[in-house]
Amino acid sequence: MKWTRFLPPLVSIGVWQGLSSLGIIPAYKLPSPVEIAQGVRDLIVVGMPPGRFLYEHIIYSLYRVFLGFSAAALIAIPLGVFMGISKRFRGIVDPLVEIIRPIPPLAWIPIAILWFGIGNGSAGFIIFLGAFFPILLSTVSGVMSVDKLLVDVAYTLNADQTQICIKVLIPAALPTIFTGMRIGMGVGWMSLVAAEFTGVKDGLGLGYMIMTARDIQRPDEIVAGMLVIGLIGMCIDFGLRCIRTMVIHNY
Amino acid sequence: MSLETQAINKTFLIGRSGEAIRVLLDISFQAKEGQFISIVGPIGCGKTTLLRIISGLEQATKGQVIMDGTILEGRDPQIGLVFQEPALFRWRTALQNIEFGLEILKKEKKSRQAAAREYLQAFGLERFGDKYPDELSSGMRQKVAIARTLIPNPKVLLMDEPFSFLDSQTRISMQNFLLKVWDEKKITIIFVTHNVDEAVFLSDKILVLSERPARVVETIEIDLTRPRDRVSSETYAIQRKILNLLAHQ
Amino acid sequence: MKRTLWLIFILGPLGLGVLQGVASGAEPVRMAYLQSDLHHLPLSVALEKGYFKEYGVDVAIAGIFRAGPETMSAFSADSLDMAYVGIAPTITAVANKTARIRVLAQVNADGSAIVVGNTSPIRSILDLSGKTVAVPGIATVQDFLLRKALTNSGLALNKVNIIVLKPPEMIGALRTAQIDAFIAWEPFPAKAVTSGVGRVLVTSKQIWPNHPCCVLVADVNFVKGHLTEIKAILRAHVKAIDFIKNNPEEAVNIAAKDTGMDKPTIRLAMKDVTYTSQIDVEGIQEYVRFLSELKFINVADPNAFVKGLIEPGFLEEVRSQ
Repeated sequence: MKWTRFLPPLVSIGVWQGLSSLGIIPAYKLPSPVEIAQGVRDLIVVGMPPGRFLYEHIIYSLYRVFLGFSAAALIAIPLGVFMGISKRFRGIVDPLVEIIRPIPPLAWIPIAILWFGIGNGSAGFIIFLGAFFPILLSTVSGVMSVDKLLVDVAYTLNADQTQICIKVLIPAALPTIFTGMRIGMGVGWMSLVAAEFTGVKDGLGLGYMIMTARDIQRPDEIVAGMLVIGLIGMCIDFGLRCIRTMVIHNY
Repeated sequence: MSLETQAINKTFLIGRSGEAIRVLLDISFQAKEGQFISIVGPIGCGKTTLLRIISGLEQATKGQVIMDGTILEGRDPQIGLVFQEPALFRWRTALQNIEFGLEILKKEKKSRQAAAREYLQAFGLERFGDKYPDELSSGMRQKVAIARTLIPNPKVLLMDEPFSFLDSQTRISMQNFLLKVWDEKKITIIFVTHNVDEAVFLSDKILVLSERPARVVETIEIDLTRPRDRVSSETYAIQRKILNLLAHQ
Repeated sequence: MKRTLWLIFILGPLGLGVLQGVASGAEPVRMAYLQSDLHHLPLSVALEKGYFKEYGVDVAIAGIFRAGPETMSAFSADSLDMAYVGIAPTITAVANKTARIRVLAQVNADGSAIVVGNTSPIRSILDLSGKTVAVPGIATVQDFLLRKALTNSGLALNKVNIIVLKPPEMIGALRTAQIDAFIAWEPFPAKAVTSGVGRVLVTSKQIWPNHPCCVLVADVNFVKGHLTEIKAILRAHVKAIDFIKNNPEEAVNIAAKDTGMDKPTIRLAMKDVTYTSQIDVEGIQEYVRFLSELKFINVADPNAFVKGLIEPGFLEEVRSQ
């Protein structure tokens, strides 16, 4: 890992700090790197709103994402497998999927609040919607593109439909399904923050934290919060990739 | 198990217009129990389709497949099929690929792993049991594929040009290997190939098919004693005869 | 042919831009206010009765926001010249240096209330311990008043779950018992009562009598070059407040039209709001002190800060005439 790799981003940050210190970039429009670093410290030590600390917000947001994402995977993968197998079933479900899919998860927020109340339910639902369609589509695509030869092999080895499904189709489609899950998780994480913007009952969550920072007019903490969200999103994706490597070790 | 086909016909409807393509025309032959039958013919004539019909993957448009006197309705578990490509499950090790057939039959884990290991040993692959398909050579992969097909103990083994993707050295050793397996298991083998010397070397009987739509041009019985001489004049005579039949279509 | 097309593509947008600039002439004052906020009635009255035109100033509504902090963000983005907004978000923005604005006049005192469910067992502020209370935004006047009420009763702030909801969502949340109480500006408390969802636990007047609430603010840069317009707007503002005092029923009509709520609700709500243009300096100092205590802002010298925040000169001039 050559140190020169870090040169370009370090230089950019240095220039940015210089411009901010000279007042060329006004602080209220874009805080300087130093202010953002202090903002991160304040989020951890003081909390936003004061008394609600960063780690609490992170835990709540992660919990909601876990809820929504798990629900999405648990429903989308079996549904996708059925759609991949049966042309008729696909024909029935597809139009419904294609109408709902383009609706942005955020547009569901008012309905989600009516159905699930303000809290983990509605936020989880928004994340569910965000994660669901990428997982579904890649499962269908993955199952449909399984080499027919493998299915024939299993058939000639006396496997019935269920066994073919579980022992051949799903393992064969797994790499594609996993890609869908990564994308779904990314969309879900992005939807989470905005879903929390509109109101969460426990007053905790990264989106809520940023909204409060906006209310209290602390742009340094707004950007610090954004940074934290980006970092956590990155970690989650990294975690998924590690899981993928473990499960799909030899494709 | 003896296997017989009676007047197998197959017509495919393809394309949006449903154009009818006649692939097989009145294919009839008989294979006695334990016989090694080869089917040769030009590329694309329909040999694979015939095997798929016998194995139950396709249905004949007309005609039937009879095993030990019973007409088959679709798939019979006593018939195994080795495909042209090994088509191993790339997420399973060699051992796990082989034991697949017993997993399907819901055999208990210990016994099926033991059976799979026996095959690995018999096929000289003991050290490769936990390797994944992409870590094996093409010859090894075909062996694993054959082991996978044999483990459920089929009485009839269909083989669709299983050695055509191998280099000639490996091919020869695989042919010898196959004959050994055939001798031990005493199964009926129906072997498709477009390689004439392979057919003559391996079989008791050769079915020569025409170009599409395929019909049986001639059935040739081979009486030469085993182990066969690849380069004797009798061998050449039979090869010449078949090549002539194939040339004059 | 090709050349002509290129000329059209490049000059067209430029031309449109020029035309737009030419057509607008003298730009109207970009004014903002809060959605369905009875406190901002003077603005609606001034627009409805044509007072701005009367005094020769052109006012355009450049934003209708759901809570004060959003108005502050708009100032940060240089999209507003003036606004009717709460004093608490104003102080927070100026103290945290995200908006450079000055308070030119007050708009009202009192006029908010804490509402609990109709069948709720909550009878006093202390009963809010362990409950969930919704505010329109952190560091809004209402949030401020809630925290003040809790502190005055000796209840620790972390014992109450304060969450943010926009006022239109509060009544529904109370009805479905997702929150135990809310505090909002009129007419929302009145609406909760008239729709049978809740009852008033305590009015903001009872928490802090005559507390300053909303103010009329202007961007510092706007103040510099537009003295005439500012004075004209302040005149209209004062006249509108007089109108409301002297013509309550017509004021109700205008308010009903503007907030979209029914007249009985508006009448009930108006009882609680005191309209005044006089700036309550001490009250504002109290805001600064308490916001610092809450650590929302960090102001060393509240009095000096308030001095710099308020610009009462124009109002005095207008009132003396």
